[in-house]
Amino acid sequence: MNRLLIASLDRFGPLGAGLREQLTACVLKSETFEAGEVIAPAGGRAQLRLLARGLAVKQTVLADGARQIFSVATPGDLIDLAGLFVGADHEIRALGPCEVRRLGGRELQALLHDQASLQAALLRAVLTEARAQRNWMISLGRRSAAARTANFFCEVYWRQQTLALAKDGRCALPAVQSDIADALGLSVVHIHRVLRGLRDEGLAVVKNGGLQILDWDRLAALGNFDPEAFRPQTDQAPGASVRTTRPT
Amino acid sequence: MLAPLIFIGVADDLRTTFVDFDIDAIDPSERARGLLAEHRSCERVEIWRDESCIAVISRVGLDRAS
Repeated sequence: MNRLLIASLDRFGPLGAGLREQLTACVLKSETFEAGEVIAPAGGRAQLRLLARGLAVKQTVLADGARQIFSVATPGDLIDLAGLFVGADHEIRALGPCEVRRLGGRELQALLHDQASLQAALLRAVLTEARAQRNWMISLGRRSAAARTANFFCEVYWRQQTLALAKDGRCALPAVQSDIADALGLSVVHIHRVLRGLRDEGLAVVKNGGLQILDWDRLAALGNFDPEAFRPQTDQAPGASVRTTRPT
Repeated sequence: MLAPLIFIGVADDLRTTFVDFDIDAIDPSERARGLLAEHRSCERVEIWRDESCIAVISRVGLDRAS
């Protein structure tokens, strides 16, 4: 859906004159994926991929089979910014059923050639992603198991809440415990213990493909959650808003 | 997978001011009017499903009516 792509890029705007019209005229290819399917393999390049529905993860599988997940994508995210310019060193996999819209390399290169504002928007998108990655790095390096889990849950909920995909403390999280463990650098045994602790403390529960936040304030405090780490970077022009209100 | 309705807020300079997804909006137009009331910076709300824009609710006339 070109309109969603334009809206997504608008978050990193401002977009230059004529770019919306050019994007509207582009042909996006739609693809659907089931949970666990690879959306983009490592090494692929020169595609602009927009997640239109569902949740996806970026991950690397090591030689010994161990896996590190290092981000979760929500609808409206441009999920293959690395592959756009240099070839991704990681793969993107569907966490649940997903729909992806893809703009091919030739059209994209023409747009990038013509439109400096598209280059700038994509650069801001990369910088936004880098900021979220630094938060992830802080979690893995400096936060306790409970704190990094709390921070992760707050991110997943907050990002969906900004899209109205979360309400009444509930949102989708079609992940099993091994997915969460691989995202947070913990063993499955450890994450099982942490999840039980969060549930017993009345903070959050994960079950049946969903996340339920029981006490946002205490969970955010435990995880030292700062939504600024995920807010789209703009050129100070009042760009597309991500709502800043506290989740309900 | 049911295609959600997508509500896109648009400012008078064509910037996107918000994107909301909704799978089960009973009255999409009413929902759009509510979003317009909530987001004073947007001039209209486009309602999309898949590739189709199924409605556009503009502020013009709404404020006068309320």
